[in-house]
Amino acid sequence: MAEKEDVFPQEQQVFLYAKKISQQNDISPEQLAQEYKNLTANYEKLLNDAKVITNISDRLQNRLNVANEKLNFANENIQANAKLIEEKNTQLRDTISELIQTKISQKASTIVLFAAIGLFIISELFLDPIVERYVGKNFWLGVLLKGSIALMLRPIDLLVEWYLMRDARSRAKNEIK
Amino acid sequence: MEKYYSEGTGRTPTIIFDAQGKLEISGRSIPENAIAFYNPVFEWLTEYPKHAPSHTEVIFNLEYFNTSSSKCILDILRKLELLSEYDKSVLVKWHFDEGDEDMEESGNDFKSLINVNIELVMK
Repeated sequence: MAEKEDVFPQEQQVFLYAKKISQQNDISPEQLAQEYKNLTANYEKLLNDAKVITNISDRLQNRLNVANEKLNFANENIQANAKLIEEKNTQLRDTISELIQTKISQKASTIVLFAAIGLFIISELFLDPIVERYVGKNFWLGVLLKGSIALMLRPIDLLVEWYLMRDARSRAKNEIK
Repeated sequence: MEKYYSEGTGRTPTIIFDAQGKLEISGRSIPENAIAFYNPVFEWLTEYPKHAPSHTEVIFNLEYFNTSSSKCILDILRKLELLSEYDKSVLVKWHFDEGDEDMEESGNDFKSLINVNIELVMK
């Protein structure tokens, strides 16, 4: 970066000249009085400039401060909104997840219902005659057999649900990709 | 005398000095090195009184300026004061946005310090 130039070149010249005069011993009182008058005039000008520049600088600083406060306020709002959005997003994700779970449970229940009907038909048409043929007409054995088939329905339901959930998650992942 | 033109940027103002009595400085003045930016302007203005028409109108239409620029503006106004030594008149129009009290007060500050006719103009 280039060296910053002085914004007070004339004032610097006045100062250096006054310094030179102050170091001279052979200067007449009349010339010294004139130089002092010139220096006073330049000092007055510089003092007035300094007052105006200070006022302007203070206003600029105040303006920057106000802008900074507005920026901070806007930033806090953005952060609060981002947090709210994140919370809503989590709620939405949970709701969607619950909705998918419900839909899958319904689907799984339907599949299991058809499986139950199928198992019932198979049991009535094929298993009952076979059991009767080997163990005779035994009421409790029939109940045990049908009860076992009924107990199989819950694991089937869980298995179907698990498979459908896995499928749904895999589809969701692909959609995100 | 040749026209002086400097295209404005995000940090420096547009400067159009046409030597026909119309001078304009507008935009934002926050150069990193104010004196380096304004030096050609000072040089141009040093020569200007000799070639200037009988009346000069100067428009300041600044949106924002930094402290160094405020010193440079003071020096520009001081150069314009010299026009009276050549029996030439000058009117400075200091524009500011409605409600921009800072810019209005800055105009008043310059007005109190410089021996040039400065008119504050609300946009």
